[in-house]
Order: sequence, then C-alpha cells, then structure tokens
Amino acid sequence: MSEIPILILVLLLVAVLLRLDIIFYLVYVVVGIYAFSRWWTGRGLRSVHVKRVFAEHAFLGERITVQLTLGNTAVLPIPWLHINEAVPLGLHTPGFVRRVTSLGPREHKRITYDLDCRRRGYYPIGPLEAGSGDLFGFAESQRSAAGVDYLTVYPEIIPLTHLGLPSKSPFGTISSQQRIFEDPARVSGVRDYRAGDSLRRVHWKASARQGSLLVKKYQPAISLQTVILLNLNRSEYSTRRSFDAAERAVVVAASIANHLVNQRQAVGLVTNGCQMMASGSADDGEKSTPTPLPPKPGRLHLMKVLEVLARVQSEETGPSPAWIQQASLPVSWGDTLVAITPVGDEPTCQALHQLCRRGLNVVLVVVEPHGPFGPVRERARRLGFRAFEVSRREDMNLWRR
Amino acid sequence: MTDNVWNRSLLRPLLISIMVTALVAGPLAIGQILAPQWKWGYALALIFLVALEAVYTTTWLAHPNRRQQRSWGFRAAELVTWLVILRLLLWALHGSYPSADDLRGWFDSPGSFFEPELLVIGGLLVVCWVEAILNARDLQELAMQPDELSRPPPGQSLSEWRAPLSYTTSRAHILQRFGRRWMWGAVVLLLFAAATQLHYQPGLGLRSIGIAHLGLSPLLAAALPIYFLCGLLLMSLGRLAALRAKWQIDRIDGGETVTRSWPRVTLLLVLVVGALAALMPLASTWRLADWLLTAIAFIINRAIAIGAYLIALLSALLNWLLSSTTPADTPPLPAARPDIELPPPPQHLPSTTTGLPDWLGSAVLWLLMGTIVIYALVVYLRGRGIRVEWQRLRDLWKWMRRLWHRWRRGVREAAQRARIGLARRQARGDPDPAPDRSGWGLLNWRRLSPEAQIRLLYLFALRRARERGVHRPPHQTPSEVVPLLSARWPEVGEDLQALTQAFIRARYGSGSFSSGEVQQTRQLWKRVRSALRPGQRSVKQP
Repeated sequence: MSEIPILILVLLLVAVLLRLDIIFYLVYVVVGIYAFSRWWTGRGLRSVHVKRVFAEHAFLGERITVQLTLGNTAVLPIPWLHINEAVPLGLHTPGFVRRVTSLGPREHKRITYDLDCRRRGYYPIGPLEAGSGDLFGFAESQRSAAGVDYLTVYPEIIPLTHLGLPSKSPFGTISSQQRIFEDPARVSGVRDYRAGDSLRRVHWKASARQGSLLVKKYQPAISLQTVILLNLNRSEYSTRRSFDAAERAVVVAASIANHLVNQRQAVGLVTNGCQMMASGSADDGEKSTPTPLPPKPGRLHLMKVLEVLARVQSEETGPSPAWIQQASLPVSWGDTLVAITPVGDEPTCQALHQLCRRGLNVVLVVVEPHGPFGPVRERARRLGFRAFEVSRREDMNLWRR
Repeated sequence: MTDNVWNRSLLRPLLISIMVTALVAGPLAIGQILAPQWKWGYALALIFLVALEAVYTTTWLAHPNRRQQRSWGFRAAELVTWLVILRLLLWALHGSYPSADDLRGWFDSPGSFFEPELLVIGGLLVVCWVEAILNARDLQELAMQPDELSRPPPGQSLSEWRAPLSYTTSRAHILQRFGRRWMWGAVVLLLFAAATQLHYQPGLGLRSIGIAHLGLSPLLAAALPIYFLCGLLLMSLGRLAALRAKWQIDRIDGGETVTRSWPRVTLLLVLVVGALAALMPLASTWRLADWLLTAIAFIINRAIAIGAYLIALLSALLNWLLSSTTPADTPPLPAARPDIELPPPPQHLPSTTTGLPDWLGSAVLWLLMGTIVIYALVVYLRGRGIRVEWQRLRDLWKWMRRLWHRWRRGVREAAQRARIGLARRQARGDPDPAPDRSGWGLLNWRRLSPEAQIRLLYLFALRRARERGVHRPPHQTPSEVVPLLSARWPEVGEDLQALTQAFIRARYGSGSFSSGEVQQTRQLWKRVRSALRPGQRSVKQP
C-alpha cells in the first residue's frame, strides 16, 4: 500500500482548503494507523525475546524435546508472529520448525517440538528467524530472534563383556593368569610354606591356628591403562564405504572406552579426525583436531571421551604410520594401545611394531580391510601384537561372549 | 472443500455493503442539493440492499458447485431485476402508476420512460452494484481456494503429498488492488464533500469555495468516517485472509490463535487511534482561517518590504550612475530610499482570546500538519527507492545558507556603493535631492493587501508631515503624534485621527479590512495630502 501517503496528502489538502473538522479527524486517524503500523512492526519485533531450552547431550535413539519460550516484553501486543527455526535434517524432517502465534502485552508462550537423535553428531539448533507485520499490510519485518545452540548426540555404545587386552602394568583391578602380576592387596587363600617363600608372605594368624607355617596366596591382577588411537584419515577409507566404516570405527572406540571405564580402568583417546566447534551461526562452524585425552578412569572422563567421539569426523590428514608414531609418544611403557584403523597394511603394522618394541601392548582393530583379513592377522602376530577385524557390526560379538 | 470460516462470515458482507453505501452517499448528497424536489430518503436504504445482495451473490457464486451459474448473463439478469424494482418503487413512491396513455406515450417516444430521477438513482444503483461486486470478488479471492484446502488421499502422508495446484494467486497483489480501490473511492468521496461546499444559488451560478465556508451535509459527515472505518477493517480482514492462506499452503501450525485475536486487536487499534485523533486540534476549534489569512498577509507584507527595498536600491544605483555621467547642473535624482520609521506599537493591544494564546493551537495544528506532510513524503519517496538522508539535507541547508549569505553580501556592497556615491555628490555641493516618490509609484497598489495599503497611506502622511517640518520623535506612539499633527493642520485633524486609528488597527489589530474601508481611508489620505501639500497654509508651531 505505497499509495497511502498520496491519500494522506489529498486528505490534508482537502482538509486545509475546506476547513472541515471531520476530514482533519480522518487525517489523524489514517496517519495514526499508518504511522503506528509502520513504527510498531519493527519495534515490536525487537521486543520479542526467545529462549531455547533443551538437553544439550543425548544418547543415540533418544528423543529430545526442545522448548521455545517466546516473550513479548512490550506493553503493546504483537498481532502475529511467525517463527522459523532451522533444525538439522538428521534430527527432524523437514529441516525447520515453523509456527505462527500472537503475543499479548508482556505475554510468554511456549512452543515445543521433538528431535529424534538418530545419528551421533554435533548439531546446530537454530538460528530462529522471527517475522511479524501489522494488521493492514502496510509493513512487515524480520529479524533473527535466537542464535544457534548445539546438541551433542553420543555415538552408539555396544556393551562388551571381555576384551582380552594384553597389559604389562601390575597392581590393577583386572584378574590375570600371569602369576608375575600378583597383587599383595588381593589375598585369595593360603598354602603350605615352601622353601624359598618370603617370610613376608607368611600368614601368621592362620599358621598359629593350623600349627604349621602357611603362606598367603595372591591373586594376580593387572592394570589395563589404555589409549585408543582412532585413525579417521579419510584417504585411507574406501570412497564407497567411508562413511559407514568411519562410523563403525567410532562405535568400536566408544564401546571399548565404555567397557574399560566400567572395568574401572583408565582410558585415553587420540584421533586424527576433526571436530566442529561451536560458533554463532549454523553455517560457519570452525573445524579443529580434538585435543588428545590422556588416560583417566571414571564416568566423568568417559563422557569427555564420548563427547569427542560424538563430534569427530573423518578428515584428510597425513599418512597414519607417522601419525601413530607421533600420537603414541606420551603413552607410558606397559600401557595398552588399541589402534582402530581402516586397514592393516604393512606400514601401519610396522609402525605398531615399533610401539611394541617400546614396551606398549598393542592391539590392532581393522574396520575396513580391503582384502582377506588372514594375512593381516598373520602379519600382526609375526610383529608381536594381536589384530581384530570389525568390518561388520556382528564382528563385535567376539567381545560380547 | 471450501473455506467455510471465511465464506460464512457475516461481518465481511456487511462491511462491504456499508462501505459501498457510504461511497454512494457522496453523489447522493450532491443530488439532494441539486434536486431537492426529488424523494431521496429511500435511495440510501435501496442502495444498501443492492450492495448486500451483490456481495452475497458473489460469495454464493464462488462455491465450486455453482460454477455453471457464474456468467455475465446471470449477473446482468440480477442487475435488471434491481432496476425493475427501482422503477416500480418510483411509481409507488410518486403514486403515479402508468396509465394506458402513458404506455402509448412510451411506445411513441421510448425516452419518456426514463425519467431523470430513474436515470440518476439507477446510475447510482449500478455504480453501487458494480463496486460491491468488485470488492466482494477481491476479498473472496483472498479466501483459501478449494485446491489449497484439499487433503492427501487415504494412505498417503501429508509430508509426501503435494496438492495439484499452481500457486498463481498473488494475494498481496489482490490486497493491494482492494486497497487502491478503497483509496481512490476515498478521494472521490472527498471530492464530493468538497463539491457540497459550493454555494449554489439559482440565477447566480456556482460560487467558488470560500475558506470560511463551514458545514457539511450530515449525510456526508456520517459517510466519510464510516467509509474509512469500514475500509480499514476490510483491509485488516483481507490481510488476515492472505496470511491464513500463506500459512495454510506452507502448512504452518498455530494460525488459529492469531485468527481468534485478530478482530479484537484491529478494533482496539482503530478505537484507540480514533480516540486519540479526537483529542488533536481541529480546524474550527483553533481559528485556522484567521491564522491562514494572517500568514498570507505576513507573506505579502514581507514581499512588499523586500520589493520596496530593491526598488529603492535600484533607484539609488541609477541615481549614482546618472550623477556620475551627467553635467553638474543636471537636476539630481530623488533619494534612494524613503526613510520611514515605523511608530512603536500601542501599549494596550486588543486581546482576542483569554487563557491560552491564539497562536498556540494553530501552531500545534500546523506543526502536526507539516510533520504529516513530511512523513508522507518520506514514506512515499522511500517506497520509490529514494532515501532522504540527513547528510543530504544538511548539505542542502548549507548550500541554501551560502546562497543567502552571498546574496546579502551583494546587496550590502551595492548599498555601500550607493552611499559612497551620495556622499561624494554631497561633497561636490549638489543640492539635496527631492524626496523619492517614484519607488512607491512603481508599486502595484492593487496587489497589496488592504492592511498594507492602509499602513502605506499612514506612512505617506508621516513623510509629508516631515517634509513640512513636523518630525515624529521616535519615542512617540501614533496616538501621541496625532495631536501634534492636528495642531499644525487643524482643518484635517479629524481625518488624521481616523487615518491613525485605521493604521493602528491594520498594524497591530487582528481584524481584516474590507475594500470599502480601504476606499474610505484613501479618501481620508487624499484630504490629508491636499492639506499637507507644500504651499498650503498651516498653523505655525509656537
């Protein structure tokens, strides 16, 4: 209605020339409504505040409810308010949430919608674009009413029962068959004294009761301090199945970490993938390589590991043998290193062999062998470490028996 | 499937009918003035009924089942029915049912069937009918169409299904079309309101509109606000319909809450703005016409002063040029500018109002009007993509100031040169030039306002007196000077007294002078001039 100013001028001219009160009154009414509509449309939208509330972390398969609270802080109503919230297609179909509502003076309204966490990831929720207008079609206005928040969906965790990872660290909490790792704090029984037994092992109370010398039997236990090396170098994954294989690698890493933490062992994580960092908008998130997480026990640390695994994506990086050498530098002697890589080729195995020679317990998990896995297993055995193939989800049943 | 919420609404047809009736009230009011002998009372009710029927029929025809009936023939039959009803109604109202002679007369000359009253009212009826149909059709097109309301077949989800419709309906365009029609209707109604201000007297013809002519026919006084109110409400409803359709097509939830609160908010806004507008200053309450005339007189006076100044300046320049080129014995030209000093204002000015000063209301009114004009211009220009920026306005203001300073400096330099020329001439011993009357003579006397003419006559009298040796001391008011002049020229004492009173009224009063009063003052001035002419006898001052 761009002709309204013309109408106002005509009205004004007639009012002044004819000196008619009624036309002056109409001038005021038309100008009042027109000016108010234009003025309030922009200003009213600025008085709309949006608050987004939701659980920022979720496990795979969960349904998250996002609650938007729309508030009008002004004393005048917003006749209609159109909101358009951008949401990731991976969580919601379609990739937006649209609603229309009206807001009275100082009124707050709540709008909820659900997100299905079907895939792990680090998802931007928003921004929220709000649009409004007047009652007569004189003006419309739009603005970004809420920024971007992020939702972290943890990767899938497959419960494992035993891994059988090797260790050379004594005084742990995991039972072992190797007597060399007997733990004096874990007394499992007594036996008769034999020549050569240390007097420190004599169970004096039991010997007094029995009337002959008895010595304590200790349960061997190891500490399985583990570092997971997750290789997400995209060039090493096959183009056709890179996504699935990388996802599987992440699931394996998360499952092993979860299992070890449940066993009260320390777990660390080093990866060469990249992760999206939070930013103000949904488009220009920055990528960075996750900081290596040193081995630590506890659920809290596990959540940190899972958070990194939720965000991490495959990325073009340098060759993995060099990266393995560099990433394993902080790993202590005797620690276990689980290398999860797409392939178990010769250079990778040689790099892992070097780690074995440094005193680390190395386990290779191959998620995408390009050929038969037998030669890889044989090569690993020859070089002093074990190799597993997890090219399918069912392959993990090996650790679930 | 049709948009039942929209189609079954009673408010919309009612508003359209009232608006169209209000629009036709304009020519009806003119008709009442031009042909008071006709019966006009029924016309408004009949036109309202016609509009209501036209709107209802348009809505009724919009249903897909009545597609076959949407034809020009159907609508023409509807119109003819109304014209027949009008014909019968006129016969019934006048009590003159056609006789056999009338029938024969119509047969011989068909034109006699169509009386002027039938033609005029029938024409208004047709206009009203067409206008109602056009408005109803526009608003009907804003409703959700059946294909937009269609739902997916059973077994198909809403997200996968797309209705087989083409989004060709531009509701914004339709709404704009309706708004434009409403706006031009408002302009036409305003023109009719202006036309009712023409004073028609048989034998005298149409007299031009006068600024002091007040009063509006009660019909138009009611029709104007009703038309605007209905139009605004309909535009609001149209806007809602357009938004509803957009939300429906985009499958956006939550439109029901907006639809529920929409009429309430619209009505509230219109009422609040209407109430605030009633508190604003209006024309008749603040003596607008008086101030308008004062403003015009002020502008004319300023123009006269500037013109006189320029003429005097030109005369001085001409004088200087001639004196520098002509021999010494050439008679000198008259002086450049008459040295007229305005008398101080009287001590007790007549007060026109008590309480608030007169200028306050009008100042507020004009300030508001000016603001509205500027706002409208800015909005209009912005709509055309032209943005008025403060920097440009500041540049324009600076440019105008520079121009003004340059012009003033030029005038000062010219005046300075003229003064130097005069001083040189006096130094050469040239006689004192005679008082200049040519400057005043160049003025177009008839173009001056009555007040300006009277003030000039008084100033001429003072100048004559000064030439005869009676100087007015600067501290004396016009009333105090009169006894001095009367004592010198007692034979025109009363004339001088009357001339002074007229000057005080013109200079300091708020009243206006008629042409008769100006003529009377000129007669006074002529008598005074003849008495003050050089060579006439006067009483010597002691």
